[in-house]
Amino acid sequence: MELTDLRKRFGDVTALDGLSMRVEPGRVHGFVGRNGAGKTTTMRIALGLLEPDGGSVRWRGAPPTADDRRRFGYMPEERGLYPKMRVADQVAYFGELSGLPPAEARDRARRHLTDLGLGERLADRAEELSLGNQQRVQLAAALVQQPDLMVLDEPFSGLDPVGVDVLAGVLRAEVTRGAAVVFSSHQLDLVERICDEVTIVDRGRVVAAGPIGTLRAERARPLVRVELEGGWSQWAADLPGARAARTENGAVLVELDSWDGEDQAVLDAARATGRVLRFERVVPSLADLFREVVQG
Amino acid sequence: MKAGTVVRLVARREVRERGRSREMAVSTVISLVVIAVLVLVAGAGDDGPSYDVGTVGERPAAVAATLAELAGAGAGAGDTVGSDGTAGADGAGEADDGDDAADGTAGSDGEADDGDERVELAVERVADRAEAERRLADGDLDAVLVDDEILVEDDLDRELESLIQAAHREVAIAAALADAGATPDQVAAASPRPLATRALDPGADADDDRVGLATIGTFLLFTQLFGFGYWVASGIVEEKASRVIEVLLAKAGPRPLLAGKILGLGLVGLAQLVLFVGVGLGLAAALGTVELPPGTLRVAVELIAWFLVGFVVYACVFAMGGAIASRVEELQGTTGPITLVAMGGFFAALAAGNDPEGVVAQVATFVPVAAPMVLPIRSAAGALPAWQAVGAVALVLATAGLVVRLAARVYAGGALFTRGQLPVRDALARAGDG
Repeated sequence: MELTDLRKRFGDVTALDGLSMRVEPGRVHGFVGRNGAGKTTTMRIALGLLEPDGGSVRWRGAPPTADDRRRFGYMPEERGLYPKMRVADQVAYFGELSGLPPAEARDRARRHLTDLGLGERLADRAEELSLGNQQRVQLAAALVQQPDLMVLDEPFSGLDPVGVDVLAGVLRAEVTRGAAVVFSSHQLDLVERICDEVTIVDRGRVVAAGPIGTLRAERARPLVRVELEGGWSQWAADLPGARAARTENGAVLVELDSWDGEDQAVLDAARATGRVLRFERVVPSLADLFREVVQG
Repeated sequence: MKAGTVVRLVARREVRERGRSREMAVSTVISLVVIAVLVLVAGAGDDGPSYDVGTVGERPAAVAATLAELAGAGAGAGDTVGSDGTAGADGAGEADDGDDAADGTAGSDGEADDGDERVELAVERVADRAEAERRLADGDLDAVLVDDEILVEDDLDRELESLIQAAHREVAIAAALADAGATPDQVAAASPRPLATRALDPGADADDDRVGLATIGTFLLFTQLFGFGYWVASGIVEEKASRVIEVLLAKAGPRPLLAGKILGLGLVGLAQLVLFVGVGLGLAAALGTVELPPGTLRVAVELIAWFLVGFVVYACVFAMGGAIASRVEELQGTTGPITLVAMGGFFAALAAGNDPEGVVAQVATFVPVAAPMVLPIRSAAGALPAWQAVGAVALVLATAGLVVRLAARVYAGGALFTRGQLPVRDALARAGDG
């Protein structure tokens, strides 16, 4: 799926300001950004729920047809279920709306729900389930027609660690099957762990995108972690050339302008202060990267 | 997948989920009970008055016997003509009670087909005046004839009084004739068969009955239009609040989704209406408590047909009310104006029942939200010119076509709006070209 130069305004608010991104089959794609950055609007446009003011959506090289869209699985943020409908019935219903024959829709609904651990709850109403279990039903509804593209809005919010692992496993299985998966999240550590690629948006624009490993290596500033015996950190306050320093678990993280000898200068300063237990280059986490690109 | 398939799937879900919901079961049972009670009460109200009369002594007993004959013997008149059975028992009537007698009392003309009143009279002998007074006080008896008096607790029903006075006169005349040596035939001739009544417009009564039935039917129609219309609105809000609508719109366009919802709920409403009408008429026919006028079936069929057309209009308007609200709590506000309009339509229908050719009835015929409720009543009254019927149907259908489009746009525009209440104009704007 390829989104090009999407623009969307709601009254005076610019939601999307020339956003472009690409989601590949066989990859789990994380979509991160602050609240109001334009993630949900982007997803809604990709699914055909909203018309963009400008820009284009292409699926396999052409604007998606109604039949293509039925092959997309979508899990909106929280809920997305009929509260009073029995869970097996509604998963089958969404399957039928996606074009499955009735018998197959019922069959797959039962299978997916059972796989997600809800085999005993098939006849329960959605509102009778816990939030975590409701999320599993939603997931089953998004999976039921074996989608070519899965779009999930904040799928991990509110899940316990076991739920996170189950969902991560399902997403991985879907990309292995050949689907493209994109989900939005605020949990950057999760995105880092699960995703192959990431797109970071801010104020309706993409500020960083690509494979996570590459991004971390390319886009992050040079950073060293220094740990002194006794946890000394004052020494770093007036280091020449170092842009910023902060302490983390008794170690000092020092941001550098470049690797041109500055790291050695930091090491010298540290050694002048006391006994250095640890000195290492730090590849910044996605969270570090996010803070950097979004602050600007 | 074709739009028709989506419509069918959505409609089927509505029928299944609503059809087996508890609200549906409860509302159906309550309505059926109300209908059954209405039929029974209407039947009870149809019974004529009944009196218990006591007598003390011989002459009062003779009067009472004649009285019983008068009350029951109007039957003789029944098989002549009169649909408005009367047995104006008192041929020579004094001026003051002549009216009462003529007002069709005693004539219990059993075969009348239009629900005439029948007087039930039980006569018994009472030992003496003291006993009579005691039983009157107890409320056992309505009146007791003692010598030349009629004893009552406080006042005497005028209808019963005129019957008793007539019987009294008849017995006196017969006695006088017998004393004067008249033959039994001559005596009998002095108490002639009651006069028969011939109605000049025998259908008018049936018209009234049909209007009565149509009014009850219109009340049902109103509750169905309003109740199921509201369900369309609340169903849409439920989908918005739960965000199901996003999943649905990702699969199908707003039009087939809305059409399916309206079709599904309309079918449930139709089934319920047919059930109510069927049970109501069936009970009335089976118990014989309510006389069904000729043309009853036509009234029923017209009501059901008007539900179908009217529901499209109401459902679409309610759908807009649902689409611009974000939460169930806001529905009262967004559907409030629709409620007022529906009530207005219903009151116009009641006015049309009182005066099927009046100004209100004529104007409301051409108001599309009122017409579905007004026309069945005017038609039942036989007061609906063909051109007005055709014009009203055309107008309602045209309105339906218009609101379907409007509702689809508002639905599409409001579907993703889940914070607060959206002005209709904005909803239309958000719908874009959809």
